[in-house]
Amino acid sequence: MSLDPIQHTIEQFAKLPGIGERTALRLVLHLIAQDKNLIGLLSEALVQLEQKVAECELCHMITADGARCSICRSVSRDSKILCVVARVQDLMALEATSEFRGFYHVLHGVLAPMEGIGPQDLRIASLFERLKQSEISEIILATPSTVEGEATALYLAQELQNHLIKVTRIASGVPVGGDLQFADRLTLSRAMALRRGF
Amino acid sequence: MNLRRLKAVYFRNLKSIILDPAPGLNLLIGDNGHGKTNLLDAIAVGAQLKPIRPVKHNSDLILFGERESQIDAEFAGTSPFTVSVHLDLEGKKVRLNNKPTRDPFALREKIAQVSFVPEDLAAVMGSAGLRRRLLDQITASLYPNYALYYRQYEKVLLQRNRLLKQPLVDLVELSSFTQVLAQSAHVIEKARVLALLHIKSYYEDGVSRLSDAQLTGQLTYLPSSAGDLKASLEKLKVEERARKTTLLGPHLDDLEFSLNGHPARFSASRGQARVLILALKIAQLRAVFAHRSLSPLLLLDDVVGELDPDNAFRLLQVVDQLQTQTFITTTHLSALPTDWRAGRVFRVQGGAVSSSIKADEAQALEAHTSHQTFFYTADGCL
Repeated sequence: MSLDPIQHTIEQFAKLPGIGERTALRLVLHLIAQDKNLIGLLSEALVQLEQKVAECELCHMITADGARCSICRSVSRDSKILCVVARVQDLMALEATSEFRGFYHVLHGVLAPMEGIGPQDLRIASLFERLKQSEISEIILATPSTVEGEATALYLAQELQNHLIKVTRIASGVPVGGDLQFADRLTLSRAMALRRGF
Repeated sequence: MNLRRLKAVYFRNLKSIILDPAPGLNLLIGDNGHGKTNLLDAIAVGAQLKPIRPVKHNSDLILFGERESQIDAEFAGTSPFTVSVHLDLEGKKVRLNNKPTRDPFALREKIAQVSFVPEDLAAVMGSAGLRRRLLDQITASLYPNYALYYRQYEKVLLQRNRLLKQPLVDLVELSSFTQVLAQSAHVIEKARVLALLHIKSYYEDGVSRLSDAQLTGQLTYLPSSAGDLKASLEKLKVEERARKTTLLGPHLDDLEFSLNGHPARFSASRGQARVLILALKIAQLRAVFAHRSLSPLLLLDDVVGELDPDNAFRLLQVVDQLQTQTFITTTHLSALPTDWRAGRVFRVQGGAVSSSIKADEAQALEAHTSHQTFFYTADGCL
């Protein structure tokens, strides 16, 4: 028995985050009625996504450039510093600042027993593999400052204790250029607790 | 800050009421089941967005058979403001000064509230959880951020407990969550200790005054672990893995009430328990006033019910001296001292509220008919 192509496509769209049945229906009807061209373009793009995009073998960032991503292939970066982030989006945000010139490592998540995510589910083993074969002297832990992000940073800090590597944690505090009154309460309290001298 | 006008529509059994309370004492009089406590809940929703008696669902606050409810509160003071709360089956929408707000703290900064419900009495002799609830209420009323920290603590606790339930526990992972838990716990415990320090002298003074110097009361914070929580948890590692749960932390702390030097848990009578809890509430109010320069609303549900006339008189005296807007529910005015010069009296009957009359007039009226009432009251409320 063959599937109803409309219903089938709607169901696939509805699996995407942020898209419900109704939006999925709207998207499918749009494709059929108004933009049949887009169907071909979309299919092609999706096939490319599946075939060409993979995790970088070193940092686990997503890349379409082969086994290693453009950052890991760069020769102008500082190979002594490694920044550990939880998610692809976090790397992108840090990269957008163009300030950090070291390398990255993407964990693809944080420790969360409630969701069944433990150390073996994160890209942690490969991080330690990397340390064996490189000249890294500082690791910056840039996991989020949530409960789970803090626990993940502490986990890594403990595991890194015997590695003779400097381990640092990103600072947290009030947003730059923003009024104090718009900072959320916990951030503000934390900024007060972690204040620094001049 | 004080409540100048409250409107409630379809709130519990209140169909549509308007209340114009006095800045001082307000008495809500009526028979049981007519809506006195519901009126206190309506005031609490207007002031703190939460009823004084916790409910599971918003729909429990809506008049049976209706789909929505609305509370409008006007507050007077140095900077007057209005609060509107719309409740329906989906949730609650709040408007502050007619502008929608999502920040639950916006209101807590403007107005504080201290409430007593008869269920609070169980804390003296009941489980530690009941006492922790009082302690958390006090701490949160002194430090509005406390609730946020506590939520964060509960989050770590959930994660850590789940970790302990795993068949194979990664010890480094456990120690990471232990550290985050300990950091979070430290903030909670510090806030609780400071809060108790703030109320200490007020509490001891309150017990003495409410009991006519017959009782002395002390509060002692009993943290589940003295000293470094992280170190203590490390020592319990084996036991925790066997019991599959976190065995120490603020979620297991206790607050000890003592009476004349002995733990009240085993020795207090119901009347004494009432004195201790009321002293705690009054201390909370005085501490909020001193620490945050806010004069909280005081909501006392059925507070004079079991007190003998002398005790009731002392309570009202103490409340009067607080000079804060107070709402007291009672079934009979005659439960109150005869020379009472209170603000306003409202009669609550069948979900409706009568316009206010002066206390002395109401009392004269009731004195006139009190003989009849005495004979006809089946439950002996007099």
